[in-house]
Amino acid sequence: MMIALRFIASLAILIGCLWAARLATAAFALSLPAPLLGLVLLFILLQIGTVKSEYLLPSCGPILKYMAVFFIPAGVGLISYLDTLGENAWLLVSVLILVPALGLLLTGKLASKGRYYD
Amino acid sequence: MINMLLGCSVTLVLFFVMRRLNHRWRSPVLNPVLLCIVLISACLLISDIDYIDYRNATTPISFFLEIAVVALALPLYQQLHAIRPYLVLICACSFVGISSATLLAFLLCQLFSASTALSASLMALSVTTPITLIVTDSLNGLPGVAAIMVILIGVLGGVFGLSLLSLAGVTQPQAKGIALGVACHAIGTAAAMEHHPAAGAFASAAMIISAVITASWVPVLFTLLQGIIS
Repeated sequence: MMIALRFIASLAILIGCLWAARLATAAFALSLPAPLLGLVLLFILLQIGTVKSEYLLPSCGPILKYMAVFFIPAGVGLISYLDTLGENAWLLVSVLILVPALGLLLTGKLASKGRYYD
Repeated sequence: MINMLLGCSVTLVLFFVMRRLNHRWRSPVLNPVLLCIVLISACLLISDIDYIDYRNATTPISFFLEIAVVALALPLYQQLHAIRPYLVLICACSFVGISSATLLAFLLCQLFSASTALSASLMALSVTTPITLIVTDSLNGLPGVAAIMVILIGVLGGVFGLSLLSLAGVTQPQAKGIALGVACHAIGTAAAMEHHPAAGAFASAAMIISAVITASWVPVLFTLLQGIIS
């Protein structure tokens, strides 16, 4: 029972941040995505100590651990674009190989300029 | 209501079964989300169910997508003091990595004269999937295409990323972690964690910072690039 209550309370903090962010983006016509603003808002609340990380753990733990399941419905959407995928197969394959390779090499090279202390 | 129960429970059960399989044979190729997407797509196509019906039936699952983005504030907060001396470096790396990935994807789209909707779906592929979906949605792209591409990029990065970085002469685990976190999101981060604990910590910090940079910067960059070519 306590576990369920803690889960609901911590989920309420997350939803509260998301809604506050939605209101703010709508009110000020911000082009920033609302969930991102919600992330920043929650981060600030954690930094100033209004929200303690223990409050968030009951819902953030499982949500972050199983986050991948939330993409499945969007991913299945590809069946509406099978034609597009087929027509652009070469583009998609080149993007798939070149984009992560360039990203990895550039960031890896740049990051290896740093001095790290173990 | 019955559709919703059925859609959600089938998706969740299938996901947890695939997760178990993935734990038994530890391989990024057996990515549970990828397997679920392929299997569910095949079922819908075979049984001639409209995607819209499946999407409506699984709205409770999709609702958590935005919540999950907000929840990323917690790991960022927890890791901040460990990575604070490297914060500027990680931000610079993410900015360079994200911008170059978007620029290259845009050039490839021009080269293959892809439609605007398809180009818009390929702009934010190196970040965690919920951010990709939000950015794709805001640019009027095709979320289904973006989601599958992001996952495939993560899988490729998880399989080949570390070898590519070693080939390029990147030796420090921290630098490898940053690169994997920026370019290959959560699946790359998982590979970094297995490689070295320091690489894992840097990868997850880099992944979240990239998520913030992507969501705020990529839509602007895409609009700029489109302005230049038109």
